[in-house]
Amino acid sequence: MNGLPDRMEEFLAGFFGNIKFVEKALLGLEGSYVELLTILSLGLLAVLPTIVPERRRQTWRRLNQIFGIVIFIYVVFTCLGVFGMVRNFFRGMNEIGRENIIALYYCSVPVTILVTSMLFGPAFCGWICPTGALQEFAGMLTRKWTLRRKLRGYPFGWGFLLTAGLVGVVFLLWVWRLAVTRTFFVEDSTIYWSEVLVLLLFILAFRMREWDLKLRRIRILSFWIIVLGALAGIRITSPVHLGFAKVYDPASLLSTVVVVVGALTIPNVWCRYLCPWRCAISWAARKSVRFIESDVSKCTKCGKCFEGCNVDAVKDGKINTEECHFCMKCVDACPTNVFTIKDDWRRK
Amino acid sequence: MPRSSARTVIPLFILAAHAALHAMLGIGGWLRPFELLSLLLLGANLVIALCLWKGSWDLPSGTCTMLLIAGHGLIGQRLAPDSLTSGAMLTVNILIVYVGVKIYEHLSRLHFAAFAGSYLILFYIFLTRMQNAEALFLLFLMGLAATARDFKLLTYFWAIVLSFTACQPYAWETTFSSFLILTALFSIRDSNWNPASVIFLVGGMALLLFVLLPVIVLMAGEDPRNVVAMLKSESVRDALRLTAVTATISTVILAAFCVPLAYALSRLDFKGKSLLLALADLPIIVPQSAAGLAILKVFGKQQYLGGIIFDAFGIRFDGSVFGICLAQIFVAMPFILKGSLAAFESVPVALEGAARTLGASSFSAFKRVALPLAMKGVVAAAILAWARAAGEFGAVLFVAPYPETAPIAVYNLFNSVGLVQTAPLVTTILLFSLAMFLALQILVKLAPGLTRREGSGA
Repeated sequence: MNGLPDRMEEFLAGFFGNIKFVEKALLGLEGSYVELLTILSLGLLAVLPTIVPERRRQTWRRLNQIFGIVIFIYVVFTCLGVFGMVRNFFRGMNEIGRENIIALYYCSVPVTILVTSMLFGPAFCGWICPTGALQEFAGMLTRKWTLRRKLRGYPFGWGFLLTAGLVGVVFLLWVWRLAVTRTFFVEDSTIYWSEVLVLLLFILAFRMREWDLKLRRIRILSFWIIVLGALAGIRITSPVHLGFAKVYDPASLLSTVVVVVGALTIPNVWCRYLCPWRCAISWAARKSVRFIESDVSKCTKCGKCFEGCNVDAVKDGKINTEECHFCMKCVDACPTNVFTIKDDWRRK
Repeated sequence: MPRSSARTVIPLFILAAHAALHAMLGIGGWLRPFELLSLLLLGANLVIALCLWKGSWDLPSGTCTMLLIAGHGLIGQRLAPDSLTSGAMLTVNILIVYVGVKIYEHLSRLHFAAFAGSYLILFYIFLTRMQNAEALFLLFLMGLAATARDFKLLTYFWAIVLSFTACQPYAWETTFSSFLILTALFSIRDSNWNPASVIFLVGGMALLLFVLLPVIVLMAGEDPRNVVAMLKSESVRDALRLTAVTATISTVILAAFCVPLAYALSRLDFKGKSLLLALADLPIIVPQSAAGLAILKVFGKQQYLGGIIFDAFGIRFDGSVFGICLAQIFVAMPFILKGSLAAFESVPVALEGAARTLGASSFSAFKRVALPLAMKGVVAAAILAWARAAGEFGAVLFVAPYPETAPIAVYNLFNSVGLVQTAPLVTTILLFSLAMFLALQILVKLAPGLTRREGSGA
């Protein structure tokens, strides 16, 4: 039993291995290492949503997501998950004027994401983000059940509460196990986030309908926690990043598991309530050139868009830009073509 | 979608030219014809040509992209050290060209001029002026692509660029300050907009930020771990506690005497009133060291009055908490007196008169009418006096250098170990003062009694 975390770590290490596509983080400008392939690949991924054929767009999107996961595992060097990106952004900005190449190295992922979000809509969330993709793929397993729950307006159910309780108990036991067997540092505050997630599941079991939109403001709080953490130089491990950054710590795995379990019960639960990057992307999306215009007068209130949306961002032809992930499911699902994807270069 | 002839001809021509040149240059030995990236780019051009031909990509940006890709495919390897670099540069170039074409199509010529000018200036800054800044050029070009379509966004973008290049050691501070100024400027309501006041606003804020720069730098530049370590040290905590306690005591004493005095001054007229008001400003005019010496001259243990007090009550002022309070009261007095005076003068006398005719005594008219109405100003004055008392250095140093208050602790540490080691302590004290100040402000806002009485009074 004692060796379980070690074996887990070994297993993970063997699984991901020393696997970056290029040996040093890239050979780039003047023979130095620069994260150029990131810009290249993320740029491509961001453009893809617009040139993909409309007919089978959702299939293309899934492919893009899988490709996104692959790219984050095999290509991107500097992404330490959603939290690490904020931290690296800060670090990279500090290097401007000192080590310019390192500045590009650290800023490449966040800048690419923000810039593409400001031009092509928040497509990063719906088409690329590995954390989101993982949750979406997990959520497919329980899609029927979550959809029924959603259509009935998230009623309170003992089954749900018991499941959440079970998850909580197992989680706490696991945390206890880990705490006994190894030392936790501040870095392992993923566990904090996982706890928040478990608590959220409990709260949502009771009050999802009333509290949903209010709870989404936790994202702002988490954003500021991460930003202040970055300023204070605290390293906070995020979920899912164990695959990208050669950090095989059990804490990251733990929270990844919790995120996946959470996504089984509520689709994209991390994106909705906790993702700090979503704050930045929401801001960019408000200014974005590309957006989904909805002509509500055509709407027949059939509810197809609401059914499809993973983050409950659309209802009766009205899209909430703060939440929209630009997955375009509503555009594809709508029988009366309420939604059109538009570019407005004068958008304020 | 109807197909125009240009949609067929132009892509076909570029594609053919690209392929032909690729083959020719490959045979001629200028490029390696089977290098992965070159072939990929050739393929990409084929895809774009198909897109253009089908009508799913608009002609101007599509054509420009094809030209760019062809150019990179043919000469990119010669410019960049390797194909990855070339590919990344190509991505950014495509982005820039795409944005440029769109701005030219959809927005005014002025927008396009701003975009093109920005590009050139960025080129000048990063490729001509700075060494080894190609990476930054790529980074900032992406920023330009995202912000060029809107003047406001572009201004913010340039604020960042200039802060991080021209104002380098203070990049974050300048970014922060310039964002403050810009946000203030951009959020001015249109109806009140006039050039004169806008210029005054910018000039004033610039000076204000220039003056506040040391504070911002100190707060932003210090490692938080040093601050935490400082807060853990016993002597620092003692100093902070002593400062807070003495300043609070001084403020309470000042409030007890000066608020009624201010009320009296606002209601009464007598000979020598203006002299009294002028004398109240004395602590501001007198240098603090002189004030400290003066206090010592009167209240020192060896002096006449100080001796009497020591004999009668056993209280000594020099080198004790009482001395600290005395010095603080001396320097903070004008602030609370003047502030409350202004507050009371804004309360109409007629209201008290009405209260008196309804049967209130003069004391209860003061307590129930004048004081609640003036409360906001009085509390603001008291907070100011508290801050002044807590920050007092000169007078306290002469009267009571020990026990150490926070400002004196800074002075002593600076004298013994120098600037670098003192900085964390100063940051700590700044944060502490700021926190107390904010807490007091919030407390005033939250205190239910004050606002309720104020609301019913008004």
